[in-house]
Amino acid sequence: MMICENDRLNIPEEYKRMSVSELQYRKEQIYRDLRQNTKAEVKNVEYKNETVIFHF
Amino acid sequence: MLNHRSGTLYEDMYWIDLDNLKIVAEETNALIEKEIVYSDATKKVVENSNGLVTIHSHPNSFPPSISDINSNFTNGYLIGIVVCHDGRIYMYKAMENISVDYYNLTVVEYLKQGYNEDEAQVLALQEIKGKFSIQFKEVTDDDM
Repeated sequence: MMICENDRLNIPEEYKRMSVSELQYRKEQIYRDLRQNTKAEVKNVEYKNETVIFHF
Repeated sequence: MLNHRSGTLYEDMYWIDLDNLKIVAEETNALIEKEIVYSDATKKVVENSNGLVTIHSHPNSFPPSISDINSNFTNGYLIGIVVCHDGRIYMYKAMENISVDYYNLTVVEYLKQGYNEDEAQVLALQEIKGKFSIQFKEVTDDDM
């Protein structure tokens, strides 16, 4: 399914009820899982255009 | 784009081919508020193109959403640009998919610190930029 753009903030109610420490704990769990269990998929899109430069 | 949607909650979106700077797809007849639905024609263009720059409007004037970020990565877009109805412009580029849960947890963390929804999203994106492979910034006069 194609992911599409939107201007929405859909926060699950469960998260709004969590304390800051709970939020941080859950974040840390997710981050650890992402970095340990799966290799993050990184796409390098190379495009050469001499006239257009995007600075971040 | 902003004139077209001024006073509404509908979004417009354009896909620009950087090779020839031509608009190769557009969605300007959205029927669902605050969301872009890709027509079959747009899906075909996206699937068969490289080097696309996307530009779309945000009626809520929020920064790029997590869907915007992940769409940029999943669809292989070069750069995404969001133009807000309050005049702000953001650029973004994702080199990996970002966990929606991680993003939402981060936003709530900032909301609980007293930031409003707009500020919390900007701060969340800045934090995620430091930990994951995304680029994100607000375009300012200094960039012109």
